[in-house]
Amino acid sequence: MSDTTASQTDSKSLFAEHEKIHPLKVSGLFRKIKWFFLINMLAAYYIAPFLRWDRGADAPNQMILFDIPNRRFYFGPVEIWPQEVYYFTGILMVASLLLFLTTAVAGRVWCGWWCPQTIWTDMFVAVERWIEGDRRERIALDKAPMSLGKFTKRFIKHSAWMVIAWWTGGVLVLYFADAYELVSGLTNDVAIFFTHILTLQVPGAPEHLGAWIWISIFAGITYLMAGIAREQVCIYMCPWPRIQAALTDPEALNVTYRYDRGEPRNSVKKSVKLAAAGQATGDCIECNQCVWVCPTGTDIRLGMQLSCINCGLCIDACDNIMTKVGRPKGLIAFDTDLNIERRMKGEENSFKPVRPRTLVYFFAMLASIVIMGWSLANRTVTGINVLHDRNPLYVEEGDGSVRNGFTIRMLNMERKIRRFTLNVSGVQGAFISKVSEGVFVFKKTDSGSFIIDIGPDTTRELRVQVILPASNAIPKSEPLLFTAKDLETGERLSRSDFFKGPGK
Amino acid sequence: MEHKEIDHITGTETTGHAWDGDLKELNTPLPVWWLWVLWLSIVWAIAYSFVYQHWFMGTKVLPTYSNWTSRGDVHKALDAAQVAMGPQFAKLEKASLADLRSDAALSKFAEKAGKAVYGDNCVACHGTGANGVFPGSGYPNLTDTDWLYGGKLEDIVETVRVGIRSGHDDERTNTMAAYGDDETLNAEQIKNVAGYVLSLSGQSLAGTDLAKGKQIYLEEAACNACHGDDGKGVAEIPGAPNLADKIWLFGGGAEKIITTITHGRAGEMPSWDARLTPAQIKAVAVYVHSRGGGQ
Repeated sequence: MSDTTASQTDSKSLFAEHEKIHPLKVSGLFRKIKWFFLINMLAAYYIAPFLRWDRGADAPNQMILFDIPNRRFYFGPVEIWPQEVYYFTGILMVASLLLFLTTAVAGRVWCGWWCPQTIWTDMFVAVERWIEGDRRERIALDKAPMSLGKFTKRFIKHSAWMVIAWWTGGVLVLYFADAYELVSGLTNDVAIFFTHILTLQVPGAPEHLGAWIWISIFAGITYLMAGIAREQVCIYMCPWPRIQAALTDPEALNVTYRYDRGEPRNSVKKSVKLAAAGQATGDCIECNQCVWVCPTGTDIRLGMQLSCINCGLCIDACDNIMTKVGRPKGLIAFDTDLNIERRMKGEENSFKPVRPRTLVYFFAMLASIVIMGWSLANRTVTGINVLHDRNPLYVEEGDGSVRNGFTIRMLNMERKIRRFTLNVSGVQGAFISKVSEGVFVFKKTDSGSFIIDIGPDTTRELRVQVILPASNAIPKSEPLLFTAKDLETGERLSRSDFFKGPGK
Repeated sequence: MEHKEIDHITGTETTGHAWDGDLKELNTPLPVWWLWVLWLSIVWAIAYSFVYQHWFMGTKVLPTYSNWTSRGDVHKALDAAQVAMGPQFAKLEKASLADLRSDAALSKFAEKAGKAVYGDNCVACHGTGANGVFPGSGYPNLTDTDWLYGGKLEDIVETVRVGIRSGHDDERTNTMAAYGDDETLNAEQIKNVAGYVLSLSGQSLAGTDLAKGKQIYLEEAACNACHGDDGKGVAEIPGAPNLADKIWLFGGGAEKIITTITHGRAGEMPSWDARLTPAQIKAVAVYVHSRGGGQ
């Protein structure tokens, strides 16, 4: 390493300087869109756990419930058992494809409008603006020395943030337990806590300690991410801006500064003079409003970049200014770099939202939805699984007959008792000699089939013995079919296995 | 020193380091808080190691701050399981065998609990599959329907409790006499009676006189006293195997049968009365019964 490079290194910081971003208030179409999604999505998030869904007396009546201890997931009419988690995979696939599709059509609108990080940050900034004032006041407040007034504002702001964060975590836990019961339980915990405090006793651990811990974790994360970290999450932590590069293409709409129209930048007065003198001048008046309103502090005029979340607030800001100075709107707009090049060459704009990439995403998404819906509509709510005893594979009886033991698990996802008969077929002469649960032996009908009742929403594991009398040909291994038949509906469930023997 | 060196291709500033003469690194700086996260993680890791991780001083293992061990967790889980199973074990303790037959849930619990008891105590001789370790080795197969001391749940409970020739006060004791060693029968007589015994299950031994064998079976040696006239055993005398079927506890075939008649047989099973609780004995009996051979 030479001396010159060494001295260069010394003068340079390897860390980015952090500049606090104070987004300016703005109004317009995209602000309205953001408010629309913010209000509706938050409302859905906060209200959903309180919605009810009648599933009968034995089942929880919460519309959306992740019942982890009982291993059941409820989504309205759909009840998912742990072995069916592939439905979650399906939902994730559809969600991913929807994300790819929106990205290919209109860029990172997920980041700008729908991402929880954006929604909560937006809400926290709104609270900050309400308490501390708009951009200019906040910058002034940052610079001002600590005083009672500044401390009060900061205190109120952080308290308000913590309350919001608290409710965020508080609602999240309600998806994992009965919302009404948990709310009253938590309220009770609080009441007991304050009773202890007021009577000068040491408060003990609350009854719903687990819930309190989870609420604290989620509240802490919300406060940290939406209040403190904000755009740092998007720029430095989130993988999505990196992945997005692989999903977008030149045809995707993105928030674009139309430099073909904006450059060269000049103040209003100067541009009027230049225009009068017949010299080239652009529409951008370098007011910097687009940078000031940006929640991530991006200067969109530098082109598409990682930190731009495509929310469109800079479009609102620029349109407002353009209207004021009497120039046409749309200096910043959802556009493509390809169109800029076309316009500079004097060609017409061309938008292609429908193109092979978006079609593939759309139809892949449609296919996923159809497959999911079809499998959900046709899924069996009963099941039979057969496990052949591995040790011993077969038992040779004193009279020369051969017996095979099986463990059968029958499953009934319906909310009522179902009665089945169980039979075997496929091996000449083989029959079920006994169906038991421990030493509880199931009854046999006159026709020789066993009657098995499966309770609502349960599985039942049975020991089944199949005998092949010595008068038959004893196989080494032969397919054996178990058939359970619902006595009421006639529905048949089959599962094949093997009958094993010494052979002859 | 405000000299910035810009990489022409990417337009990004370089760090100024140069390797191999001209190889330079682009400077895409991270915010400093990322570095704090790193330091915080290191502090956390060190603190964590004192809370959970055992440090060594020479050959001595230092206690952890939390006194946590994975073994301790296992013990806690086992204790919790004992507490959780408590009511069911109490119910099993009180339940009669008839109750077990009529209560599917309790019977199921007994089977599952019995599996654990079986795994801890019985597999050494009877095998993990309950079918004996080696066929014909003297360790009975518990999965078939051939039982020396009865295959009803009551019989199995009693056998587990008292054992066989175990020294327990109520032990099961029936013994096969050593006809050769006692000089009750000579070698030829033994061969003839072995031939007759084989014939009961449809087999034959060359060079034996079946009539003589039958006479010895019924008279000289009085095998029928325990094994019955037809070789299928006598209901009043448990422990004497059925000689007319295909199951041989100490091995079938002429050689093994001659050995058995000559030297006698007296297999043993320990009594579990003192080692298992009555509930555990019931549970393991249910497990054995449910392997398929139970009557």
